[in-house]
Amino acid sequence: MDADRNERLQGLYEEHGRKLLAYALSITRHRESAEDAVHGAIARLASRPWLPRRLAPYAYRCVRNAAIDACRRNGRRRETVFDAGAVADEPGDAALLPHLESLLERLSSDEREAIVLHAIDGLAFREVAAVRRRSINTVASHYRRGLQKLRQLWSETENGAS
Amino acid sequence: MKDVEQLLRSASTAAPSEDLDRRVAATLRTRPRTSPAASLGWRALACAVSFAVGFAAARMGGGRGAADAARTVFVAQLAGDDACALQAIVAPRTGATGPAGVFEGSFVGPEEANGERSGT
Repeated sequence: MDADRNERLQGLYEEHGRKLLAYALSITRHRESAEDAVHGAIARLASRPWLPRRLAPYAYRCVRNAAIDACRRNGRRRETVFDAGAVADEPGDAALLPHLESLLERLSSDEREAIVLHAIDGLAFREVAAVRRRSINTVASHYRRGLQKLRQLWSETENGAS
Repeated sequence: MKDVEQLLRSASTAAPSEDLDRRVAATLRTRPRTSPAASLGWRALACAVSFAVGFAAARMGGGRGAADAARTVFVAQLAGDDACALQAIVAPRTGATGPAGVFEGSFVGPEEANGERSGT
């Protein structure tokens, strides 16, 4: 039973490790705190007598709680969620990511988390709702509002630059 | 120029460090510790079952020896002493009017059960 549990957790980490880290980083903006939050969530799941059936949303929630605790202890920093080694489809896009990230910072935490979980981590709205313990309509509304603000901020800065 | 949403979806995020990979692997290699509450729950269940079996055996003609054995199993399991509980099941009860224990088996004296032999 323990082996089965550990296999499930190993699978979770292989599939979602990077996404969990991105989510934690979007909250803490501090690499070490974010990694501690991910490790803490896995350790917490490993110590449970049984695992929840829907494991991924529970793991995201554990990471979120640990990341928020880390923020309370250390405050938010300025480290990047995106891979520093550029990673978009086109080379020019990579240069835009730091700017995009600075704009993400200007959204409310609800909007930012909805965008990180849905657009960046690729979770369905149903899963985002389970992570945030909100209704699907609420998280979808946070996402749409956040994206609208982001587009507006993006065009404002582009117009300002030209 | 890409739309903001397309850009977000195509962006790759920071990868976990090797240190995090190692820590997670080490955590998952370690056998999870059963929580005290869960352990107590299982032990209480084992107690109840052993007591019920002993009681039923006594009612069916096992006599006083079986009831004593059941009581010993119950107390030993409650105290977390599985070796003592097992011994109570297989060891004959002195002075018992009925069969030796709940189950008849080879005799295991208290000293031998504790890893000692007489005269050594």
